[in-house]
Amino acid sequence: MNLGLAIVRPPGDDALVSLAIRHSRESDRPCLVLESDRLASTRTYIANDHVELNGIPIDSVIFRSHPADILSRGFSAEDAEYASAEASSVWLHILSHPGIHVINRFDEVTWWCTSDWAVWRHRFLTEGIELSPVVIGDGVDDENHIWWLWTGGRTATPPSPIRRKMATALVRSVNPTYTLICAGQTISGPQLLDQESAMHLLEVYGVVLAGLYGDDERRIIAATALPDISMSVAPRVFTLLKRRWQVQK
Amino acid sequence: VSSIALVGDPADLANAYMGWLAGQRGIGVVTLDESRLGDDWSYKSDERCNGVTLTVGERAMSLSDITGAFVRLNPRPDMPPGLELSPIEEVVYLRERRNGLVAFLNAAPWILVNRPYAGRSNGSKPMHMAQLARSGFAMPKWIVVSDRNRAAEFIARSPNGCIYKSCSGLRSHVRIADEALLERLDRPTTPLILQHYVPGHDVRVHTVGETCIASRVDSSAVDYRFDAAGTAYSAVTPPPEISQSCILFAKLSGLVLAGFDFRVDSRSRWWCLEANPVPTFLPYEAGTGQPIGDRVLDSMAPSSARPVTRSRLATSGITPT
Repeated sequence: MNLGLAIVRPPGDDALVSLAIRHSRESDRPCLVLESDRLASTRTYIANDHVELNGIPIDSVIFRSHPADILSRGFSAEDAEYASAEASSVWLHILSHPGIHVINRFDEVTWWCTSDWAVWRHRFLTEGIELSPVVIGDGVDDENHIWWLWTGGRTATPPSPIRRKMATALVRSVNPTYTLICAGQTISGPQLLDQESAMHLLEVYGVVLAGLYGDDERRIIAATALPDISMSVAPRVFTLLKRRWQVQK
Repeated sequence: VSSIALVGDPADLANAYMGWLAGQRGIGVVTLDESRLGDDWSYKSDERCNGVTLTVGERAMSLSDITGAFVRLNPRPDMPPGLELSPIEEVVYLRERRNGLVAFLNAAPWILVNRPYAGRSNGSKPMHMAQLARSGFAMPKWIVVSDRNRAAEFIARSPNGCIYKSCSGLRSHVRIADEALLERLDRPTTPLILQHYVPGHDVRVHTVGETCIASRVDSSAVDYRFDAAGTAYSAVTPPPEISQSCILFAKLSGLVLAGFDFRVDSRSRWWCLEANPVPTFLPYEAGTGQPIGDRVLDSMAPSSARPVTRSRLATSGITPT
């Protein structure tokens, strides 16, 4: 039986999703395109290794939405939070299911944490991967540092009382770099120190597509499993991912 | 003299109890209230806690002054007093502070009950139950479903009917699957878990490190947590293979303290339902007299461990609600 592919499309444009949809239309494989903000109302049936969405049995997923996104558009304001939490729980199960091919696989820690880069840093540190140092709290008073928000984004170092109250993470790098990696290859950006080890660890967790931020000395600052992908590099990324899936199957 | 830290929400009942119990046993207590971070206490460190400075009140502390920490984080923590932000800014503020606290706890060289990243699969019941099954626990058959026909087929094939419950970690009632549920599934709705009902009684197994403490719960309710009237608690000894499986699962999940829920059928078969990474152990301790809190204290302050056999909570006459 030819099992289907589910593509979860985030709000807005996504170059990788657009390519995957176009490609799926040219193949005879069933393809289901789901809007991420409506995942809560997807007709679902999961029993052991059988996963069926809107009546289509699937064995592969491309997921390009953020775990913390609202998934319950169409539900009443009263029910939306609950519905979103329920859908999120079901999708974590699908995305961690050993029988489903997933780009990218998520685990329970990166899924529930509002700061996936902090999780990856913790894992990298545990593995002894060389990282750019981060100071937490009111540790430095230095204009060479930037505030790397736990929840994403970067801004100027805040004043001391804020650093104390929010346990801010400060990074000594004013112009961080961005490296896109996919299936063991660097797609764009500079090669970083210990990058091979970081890529290997990401793959252990099922993450083949990731973004790495580096400091002025090419040390890794942070990683994300939901990297931005520009239209110019999307075809190469898609080709590599397709090849990887064919090998896995 | 050992000291432990109480981290997160000091108003949490289990947190307050652990503080009281530590005081009874002469163990020092340092309160690290999340909502008072930056006011009553603060820290600065790298992620390995090199050169860390922990300041509590006016006092600078060494991390080695503390051996363990009991962590209870409120899902909706308070803002610090006097800080006024817009609702959106508040959300960001609270998330930032929580992640900073988690980074500190990840690095702290303490015995944490429990580490923030441990046992997170419980937030997705389907994922969690699949993990438990892979670990060798017998699980009542279950499906995830939002399709009426599939649900009706599953219920029809179950020998004793089904219960249904939410998929997320949000606290919700377990109920008997009935016609009203099927009617609900006629309309677009979120998926839920349908599971074979196991007639019998409940058992909560708490593991604290290598120790296993089991409490039997007899109740006529489908979900005794929400319908406590007539609920009776008693100590019970689980089969050795169940104890071993619970201890191993907790260890592999990084949990010092875990609470496993079982249904035990008329043939004495133990069916696992879930493993809670933030178990509310007070009702079981109060109901059975089993000194679960003392075992937790022993794990956090090993040099102050004592052979306590009877819970102070049970003898105090206090009823946790």
